Amino acid sequence: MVTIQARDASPRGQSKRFTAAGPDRSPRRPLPWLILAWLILVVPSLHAQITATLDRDTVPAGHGALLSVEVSGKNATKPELPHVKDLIVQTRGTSHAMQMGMGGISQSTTYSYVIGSQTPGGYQIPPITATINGKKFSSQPLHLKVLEADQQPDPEPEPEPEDGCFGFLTVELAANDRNHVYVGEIAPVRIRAWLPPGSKARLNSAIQPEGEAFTLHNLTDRPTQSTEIRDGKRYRVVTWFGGISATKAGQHPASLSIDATVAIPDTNARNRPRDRTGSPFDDPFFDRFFDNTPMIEKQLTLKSEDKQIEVRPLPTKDRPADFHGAVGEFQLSDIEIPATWKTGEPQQIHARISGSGNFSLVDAPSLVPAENWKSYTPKYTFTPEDQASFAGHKDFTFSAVPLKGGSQTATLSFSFFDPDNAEYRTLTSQQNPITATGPDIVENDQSGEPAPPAPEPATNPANQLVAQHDSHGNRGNLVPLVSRPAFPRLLTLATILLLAGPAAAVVRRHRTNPERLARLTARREAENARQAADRCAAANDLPGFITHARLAIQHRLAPDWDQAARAITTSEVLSREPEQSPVPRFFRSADYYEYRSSHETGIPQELRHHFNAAINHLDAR
Amino acid sequence: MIRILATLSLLLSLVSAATTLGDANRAFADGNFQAAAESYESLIAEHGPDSSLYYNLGNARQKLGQTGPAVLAYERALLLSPRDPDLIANLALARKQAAIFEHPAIHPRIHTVTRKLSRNEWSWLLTGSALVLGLLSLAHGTLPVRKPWMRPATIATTAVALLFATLSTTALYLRRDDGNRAVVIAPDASIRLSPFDTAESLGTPKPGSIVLLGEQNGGYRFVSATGSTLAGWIAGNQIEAIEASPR
Repeated sequence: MVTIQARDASPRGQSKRFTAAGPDRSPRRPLPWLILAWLILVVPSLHAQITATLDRDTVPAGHGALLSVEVSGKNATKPELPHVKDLIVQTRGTSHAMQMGMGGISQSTTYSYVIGSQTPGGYQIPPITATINGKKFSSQPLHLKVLEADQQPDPEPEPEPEDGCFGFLTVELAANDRNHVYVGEIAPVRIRAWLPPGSKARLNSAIQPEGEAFTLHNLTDRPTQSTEIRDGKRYRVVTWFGGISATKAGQHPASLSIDATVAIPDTNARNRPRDRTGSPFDDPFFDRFFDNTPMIEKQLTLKSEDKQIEVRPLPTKDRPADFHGAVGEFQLSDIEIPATWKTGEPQQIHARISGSGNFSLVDAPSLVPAENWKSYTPKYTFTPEDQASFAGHKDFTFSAVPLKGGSQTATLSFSFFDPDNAEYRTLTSQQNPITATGPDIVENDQSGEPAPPAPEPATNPANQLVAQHDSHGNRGNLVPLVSRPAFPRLLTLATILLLAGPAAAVVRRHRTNPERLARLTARREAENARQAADRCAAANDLPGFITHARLAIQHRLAPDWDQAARAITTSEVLSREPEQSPVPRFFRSADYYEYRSSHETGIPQELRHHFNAAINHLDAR
Repeated sequence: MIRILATLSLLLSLVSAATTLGDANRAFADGNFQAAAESYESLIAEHGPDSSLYYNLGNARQKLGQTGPAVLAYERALLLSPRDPDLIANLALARKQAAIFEHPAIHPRIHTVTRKLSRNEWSWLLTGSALVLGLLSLAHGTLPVRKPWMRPATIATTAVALLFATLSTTALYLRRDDGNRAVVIAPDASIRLSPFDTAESLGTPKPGSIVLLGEQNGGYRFVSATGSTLAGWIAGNQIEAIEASPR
């Protein structure tokens, strides 16, 4: 169960603490951690079970009874319903519930079915099985009697609905020796809505305090559900945790209310034909899908008792200048102040304030002596240690600038009001010696005015809307790019670019290939030489023709032989080219006519023939 | 002269009739939430979607107790300013006061990460990353590496672009249903078994609840409530899609 426990929060006095999440999480006390771990690990497995219930054991033929199969435990499979001849089973839905009990959390799933038959008779439903955490569990067998269609089952004596049978609300404050609270003090509360079993509820509002004297803070978003017995009656209990605080002094009623629509089974309508319309209560957290049970529905305000609480103002006597409204029991720890500073240059300071109280008004500790420092707005993270965010720690990080140079001490100071001892307390860290280099800095905004009076706690900060925006914000399109036709086009463009890269690389590699470039150059040189040979032939210049014709063929051979064109000799051609090739024939003819050039008056036809044959042969290669 | 005076008076009347954000905020501050809401709506119609206008409209609707339209306005503001803390706080408060609980379909931490950016921002990130990868590929294919720092810079840029592309693709995939999200705006909305007024009611979603839109049949849309098994047909005028339809 949820615990209400008292503990020593400080050596100076007793502090009462209401923890909704179970045992204290203080690292100095390992035993509660072990108990919590045991509860988390062991309790759920202890709760593994399957139960099957029928809302009636006799129905007329053609009508149905509601079969609820509740499977409790982790990693549970859907129950397997055994086949029974002539028995018709229709699935109606499932509902999930989480329960806090013994400090642990258990979960259960209820599967609802409507079962009936067109054939009168007695039907034995064998045990229903489900696998929970790897083990197989079975429910007890059930028996359903189906009467003739025109025969009605014996009516059971049912009590008439009473006033208040739709439920009520209770608010439990933390165990407290005091019969008064202070303005701004947060008292952890457990709020419970007690609803009749089998009822369905829909919340139409958030839980609100009656009147303006109290506000509700940090109400848990997801309430827990459980089944409990009170005054001999069984109830479905929906539980929230939160903190309640007073905003003005005086004697005020501390009650809460919530608007809800509650429907309870119409016990007097059991003999009527079943209403097959669906439930209007669709909230999966609260519904149990009693879809075919006639219900009485009522809109009402569940309200807790009016309990008068004396709210005392915070005393003005001895109020520290750095008090900012923190009320509770706090400790100051984990202080990190750099040892070396330079005047005018900010550095970061870390500190942690832990304990229990109204953390929303816990401000960063201030640097002492204040005239030596300028501090900036702190950043903080709050880590709650219970569901109501009553206990926890707040880690502050803020920048500070030293205004005076030289060796000095820096101390952090934090003031709060201790409600149990009705006095202000100031926590001071140990004196940290620091050295600040640089000249003193005079702040223009130091007017020497006394510190402003401590503000009263803010009124209902948790339930206020954040203020309107005064300037225009981000403008854009309510259709995101992903839903616009441009999106696939842009991605297609990106894909084309992505593919174009490798294609371009292939083209670039081909175009800059040195072998290819050398071959192109050689071909060009060979063509030039051939044209020169043609010109020499036209001029009947035999030596010139032989020189350029040989050079043309040398340029054509050079890339293949991987050597300079002019370095290719006749003997090399004769040795490397086949005997029947026209290339060596040309070279032999060229040598022959070169020696006889003084006797020849034109270009011998044989030489031109060999040259053309050699060129054609190389072009074809 | 008469014509000039008439033109001036017309211009003057237009200027005086034009509502500004300041006017709407003053109406809100004076407690005239209905007038403020209408002013914000006319400003949105005039200037186009603006996160602050939707945010302020949500506040005005919330003050009027119209949870459905308030949540719709906040959700639309979130499309434009997904990290606005004021907006996130007020939307959470509206849901809390109406006892509406969100049911993320994925792990809460992943849900938080994917909500850091709007779908529009994720899609721009994906497009930008893909284009950067494409341009890098093209540059690699066409330009020679001339400086020694170019290769590590290219590798680093490619790695970052790939990371962003992977992240944004994953986020867009996980939020693929967001385009079908709609808010129940009517206080008496009912999800029915069939797309007819006389069909059996399966459930009554609260105003401000989120549903996922399915096919359309006449004036009805098939919807499924997030976080529950409730699914059926709802009248088209009882819901409104959060994202606008692409033209």
